This record gives sequence, C-alpha cells and structure tokens, in this order.
Amino acid sequence: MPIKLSLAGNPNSGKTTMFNALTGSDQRVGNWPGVTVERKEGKLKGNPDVIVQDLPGIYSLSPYTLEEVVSRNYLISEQPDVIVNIVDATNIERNLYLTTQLTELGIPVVIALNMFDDLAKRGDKIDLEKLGGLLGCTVIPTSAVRNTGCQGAVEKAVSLVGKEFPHIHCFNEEIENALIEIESLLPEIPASRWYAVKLFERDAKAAETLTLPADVSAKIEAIIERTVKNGCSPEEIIARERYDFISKVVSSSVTKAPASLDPSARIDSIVTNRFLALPVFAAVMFLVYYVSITTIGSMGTDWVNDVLFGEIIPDFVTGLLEKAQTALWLQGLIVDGIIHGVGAVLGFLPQMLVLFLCLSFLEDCGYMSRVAFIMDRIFRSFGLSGKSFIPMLIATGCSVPGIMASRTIENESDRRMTVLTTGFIPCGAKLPVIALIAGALFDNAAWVATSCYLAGIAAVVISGVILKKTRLFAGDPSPFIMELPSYHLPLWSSVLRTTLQRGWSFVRKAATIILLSTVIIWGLQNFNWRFQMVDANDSMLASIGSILSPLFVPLGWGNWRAVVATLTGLIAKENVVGTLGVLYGVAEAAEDGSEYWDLLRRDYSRLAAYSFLLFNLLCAPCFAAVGAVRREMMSARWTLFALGYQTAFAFITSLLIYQFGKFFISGVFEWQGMVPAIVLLVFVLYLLFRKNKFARKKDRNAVELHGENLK
Amino acid sequence: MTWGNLIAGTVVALMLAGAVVAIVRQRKHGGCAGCSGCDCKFSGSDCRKQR
Amino acid sequence: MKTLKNAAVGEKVRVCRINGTGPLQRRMMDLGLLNGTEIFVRKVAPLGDPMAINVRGYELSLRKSEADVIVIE
Repeated sequence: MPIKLSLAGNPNSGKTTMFNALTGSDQRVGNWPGVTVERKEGKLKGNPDVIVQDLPGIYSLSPYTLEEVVSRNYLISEQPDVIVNIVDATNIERNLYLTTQLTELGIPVVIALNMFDDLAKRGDKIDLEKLGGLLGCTVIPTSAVRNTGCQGAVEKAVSLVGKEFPHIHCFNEEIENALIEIESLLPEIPASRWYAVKLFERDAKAAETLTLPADVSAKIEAIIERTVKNGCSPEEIIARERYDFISKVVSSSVTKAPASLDPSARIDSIVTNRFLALPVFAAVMFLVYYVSITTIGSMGTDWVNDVLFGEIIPDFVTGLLEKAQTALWLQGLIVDGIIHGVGAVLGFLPQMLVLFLCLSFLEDCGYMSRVAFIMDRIFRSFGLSGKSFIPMLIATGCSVPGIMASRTIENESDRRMTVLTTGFIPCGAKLPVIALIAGALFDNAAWVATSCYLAGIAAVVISGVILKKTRLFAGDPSPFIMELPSYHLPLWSSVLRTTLQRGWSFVRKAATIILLSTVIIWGLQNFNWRFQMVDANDSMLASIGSILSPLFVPLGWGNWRAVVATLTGLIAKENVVGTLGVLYGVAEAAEDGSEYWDLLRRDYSRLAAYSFLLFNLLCAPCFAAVGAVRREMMSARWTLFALGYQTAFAFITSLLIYQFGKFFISGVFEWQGMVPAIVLLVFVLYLLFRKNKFARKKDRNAVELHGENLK
Repeated sequence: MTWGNLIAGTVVALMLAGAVVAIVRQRKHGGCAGCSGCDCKFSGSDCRKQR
Repeated sequence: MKTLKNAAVGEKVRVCRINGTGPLQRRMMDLGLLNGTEIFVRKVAPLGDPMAINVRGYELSLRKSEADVIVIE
C-alpha cells in the first residue's frame, strides 16, 4: 500500500511549489490565492511508495467554496495517511488557524514553515521547538521555491504514518467539556473530534454525512444551548477561541523585528494609487503586448517566418525531394502542406515566448490580485466580480485553466458568467492570429494587439451588462473578500521554466494537432469530390467554404479561404494561421511567387481583415476550451448556450465594425449593408440599456438581509 | 515508385501516425490541447511514467 | 453604530462584532476578523471601492458593502 501524503494549507502558501519540488512535476504556480482548484497527485521523487497530493488552498475546513469542499471532502472521507501542513511563516497567525483544525482530524500533521527565508530577511525570529510543542506537531523550516527543507519535512511525515496523533486543546474548559460530551454521543468514526467541533458549530453538511438519530441530535442541541450564552453564535465562539489560542502561541514563540516600511506597501502606494492605478494597469498591458508583438518578439518572428520557414527550410526540402525524384503531389504535401502550415504557426514562437515570459513574471510577482482589486468596482457595475478578472488574466495564456480558475467564485450565476465570457479574452493561441493580421496588414502596429485585448475586455463587460438583465444571470455579484499577497521578485529560474514549458506546449501542439489539420486541409484543397487533383478553386474545400461564405459577406470576408480558416480555428486557434499558410502558400507557389503576406494584403482590405480578426477572437473557442466549459457548466444545455452566444456576439460585432467602418471610410451609404447594421445596433443598445426587470428583486433581497441583521 | 517516394512517403506517414498517437494519448489522459495548468492528474515526469 | 465601511483611510479600528450569519460572516471569521481584532485601513481602490485593510499582519481586500457588516468601536 502506498503512503498517501497530503499537502494542505492556506491559499498562496506555496503548496504547489512544494509539490513540484517533491515530485519533480510542473504544475502551474502563481502569486495569488487560488491557483490550484483541483486535487493533483504525483509520486515522491526517489520514493515511488509515497503519493504526494496537492490540495487547493483553504482558510478553513468550512464548506463554502468549491475548492474548500474539494479539500475538506478529501481530508475527511478519504483520510490520507499523513498531512504536511504548509504554513506561510510571514503570515503565521492566519495560517495556524487552519492548523488548529487539521490537528483535530486524528491524522498525523507535520508543519512545514514555508517562506522561512523571507521571514529571516525581515528579521523576525521563531522558536521552532516551542512553537511545535504548543501545537503538538513537529515544525520544519522550509523554502519551497529554493527547495530547502522540503525533503526533511516529508521524511518526518513518513516516519509518523500509522502513529497515534493526539489533538491539541485550544478551547477553554467549558467548551472542551461540551465537545467531549458531544464526541461521546457519536459512533466510532475517524475524525470524531473534528465532527464534534463541527456539530457544535451547527455545520449542516457535517451533520448530514453522519445521519445521527433524532434523539442524539436533540441531546447535542441541548449541549450547545447550555454552553453558548449571550447571543453569540457557536461558530463565532469556536473561531475566537482558536484565534485566542493562536495569539498565545505566537506571542510566546515569535519575536517580531521592529516594523520597517514593508516594500509591498511601498509598491502598492504606486500601483494601487487612487489616480495612478488605472493608467499603470493600461501601461503594463500595453507594454506587455508592445514588447512581445511589436519589438523584440517580432524581430524573431520576422526572421523565422520570412527566412527560416520562408526560404531556408522549403528550399532545402524541395531540393532534397527533387533530387530524390519524388512525385509532385508528395512534394506539394510536404512543402505546401506541412511546411507552410506548421511553419506559419511555429513562426510565431518568438513572439509567444516573449509574451509568456512577461505574463509569467506578472503572475509570479503578485500584481494580478492587485488588478482584481483595482478592477472590481468597474466590473461590479457591469454585474461581474473583480474575482472574474483573475480567470480572465489566466486566460491570456490559455482559456482552459482560465475557465477552470472560475471555481474560486462562490456565486453560481457569476461563475457561469465568467466561464461564458472568459473565452472572449485573447489567449496565447489567438496571438499568432493577431500577429499575422497585425504583421501582414498593419505593419506590426502595437495598437492592433492592444485593441484586441481591449475588445476582449469590452466583450466581457458588454456581455455582463446584457446577461445580468436576463433571468438566467440575475442576482447579486459574489463577495470580494480576497487576500492581497505580498509582492516578491520572482525567481528567474521559475519564470523561465514556466515560459519554456508553455512554449514547449505550443510546439507540441504545432507538431500534433496543427500538423494533422494542415495535412487534411491540404488534401481537401487539392482534390475534388472524385479524388482527382484539381486547382484549389474547384476543390472540396472550396465547395465547403463556398456554401458558408455568403454568411460572412456582410462581415467583409465572404471568401472561402477565410471561412475555412475560421472553421479550422475551432480545432485550435493557431490553425487559422496554419490554414491560411497552406491556402496562400500554395497560391504563392502556383502564381507569381509573391509573399504570402502580400497575397493576404491583396485579398482583404484592412477593415475586412480587422473584422476577420475580431470574429476569430470572439467566436466559439477551440474544442479544448469548449470541453472545459462543458466540465465547469456541468450541463450540455449551458454549453450550447455559451457557444451560441459567443458566436452570435462575434458575428454582430464584426458586422457592425465592418459596415460602419466602410460607411465612415467611403462615406457612401449602402442600404443593403447599413440597414441590417443599424437594426442590429439598435437591438444591442436596447439590450444594453433596457431596464433591469430583476433589479427590484435584488433590492428586496437586500432588505431581507438587512432585516435578518437586525434580528 | 522511386526510392525518394518511398522514403518521403514513409517519413510523412510516420509523422502523421505519431501525431495521432500523441493526440490520442493526451486525450486519454484527460489532458487538454497542451497548455500548462490543465486538469491532467499527473504531469511532467510523473505523467510520462504513468503512461 | 459605526461600521468598517465608514472608517477613514489610515485609521486604526477595533472590531466590535460581525453582523448576521452565513457564508460571508463565516469567511470573515475564518480570516480572523473577530470581536476585538485590530484593523488598519490601508486604502481604497481608485473608484472608491473595494477597500484594503491590514488585519493580523496581512493585507485583505473587501467591498464597502461587505465591510458594512463589520461593526467597529
């Protein structure tokens, strides 16, 4: 039987960093609370008999958010063999609150006092012997980022497996007596002490799992009534007793250095400053995209696209194939299909790497939760919570973890709304599409990428306003009680590792799904329905595209190639670039040899290209993200609704941009285009500004809540 | 049928087969299209060991 | 009855009680906002809401509407 070792602790205390250090895996880490939302497991490096489990961070074993439920259910019902409780040494008081609950479970606990190096830097001192003695468990100083002490903590934990683990007494005598009495009423179960406390707190979920007979419940209620006096709630009494106990423990074992001005507070005085915060945020986002798309990244991309995949590789391979006298169709498949298609995607790798580097840095340093703090008020006036912003920031890397991160949002309709709108944010895979359009038609202007990002946010906001006024999403926004973690300078090694890992995923995707898609696209566009090799315009692909292309004429790109590219984008968004690479790469070879970007410029006006870009950014996400939506919504109907909504939204946006853009550029009023555009605009404005029928219901709720408070 | 055809054809066929296998494996694993932070239960070296 | 919502930036206040019951109140207690806890009001966000406070040595942000259930002395 392998030993099950669980890592438990507060959000952002470094559990996943330690998990990665212990198992040698590469789970995502970041400096904000709630990075991990699911249980992950891996084998201990050097000892495959120990299974290490990474639990989502929790403040308490109460059952209020989804990730708390995951951790709590696991700890209670599956009973790991030993718990390593990771305690953030720089924030010891609140972290020990969970410790006092974990030690009640009857499972051996070892405390890993993490970020011990930061504590030493601050000048605080902790008497480890004393602290451990008071808490009843061994305390081992660790630094998960630097991988010191982690092994020691695990070895200690493994040595405790199977041993008795007496709980510590942290309540006063009266409550302690009540708890002992309740415990004696319970049947023989593991974690009976913990259950006794939960029953005392009147935790309905805990009572449900126990299914106590009515007379026992009545007896317990009598004990609670007897012990709780002067109108306090038992929950509050327990919480206060725990914190009082911790205060005593901390004051006798921790010596604080004289307080100096916290560097985090100094940084915050600028980045969350009343006047500077929003400009700083805009500047940061602009800088990220400017650096990655326009300057450093594009230098690399230009070379890879034009030279490496434009000349060196195709010329070399063509020469080789010609020398070997391979069939023309096979040469076409390899050079025009695979090299052009995959090359068009891989060409954007330099830009992606720079973007990933910037984003990893921002995630690790602690700025992301400040952004949620700054944006909450804005988001709330659109019916969303600032917490929705974090999934969206993650989604700038990939929508899938972004959608999953929505689990930290308590309120169900908010969570659904976040899942639905997160796909609007331009993810890493959409970046090549942006870079292609920006490069081919807009001379790499930085405003193209920035405007795409803003368009994504605008789409989220507009959807928030529209959807909040429907019955499906009515209700108050989630509470926004969030910890603001201290800033720290990220370790370059960890930022680089995340960057390379994401870059590698991008390459892997290009070598698998993109490769297959481009080969299929190449086949479809070179053969007709009778499997004869034909000109692209008579191919199967052209006929498929032509059926759908009239739909996109009002959007300015009713061209079968663009339609096909959009369709293949559903498999993976990079495919849009790969497909265009194959379709125009062939044209390049067949016609006058002009560059494929020049051909794009000939086929699409800037306005049409921008409308194409927006449609591809906003319409239904890739299949992987659709799968994530399905998992989070847990309903096929909701998933279909999300897809339909996103596609309709993208269609209307692109249509409005194209038609009004054309009108403003040419000054000619074309009624066939403008009339539907105006009708749609009026419709959207109506949805935006109509009265919220459900607002009154909200007020009534507020009154009820208030009434309850008065009681 | 020239040697060139045979070799080039084999290389392409192997590449495609490899891509299919890689995708199927990833799917089986519950992994997404390949970003970090997915819900793949095992990752990194553990992930490869599990296979 | 003064609540945390009305506390000024830079003010040091002491929690008197948390109004009501439910998930929100429970979360606050779990985070260490209890009868007698000292709070330092760090700042408010650019648009006047939410606010950031320092409690038990860490930074926490919460909305004015949520701060309204925390009665201070």
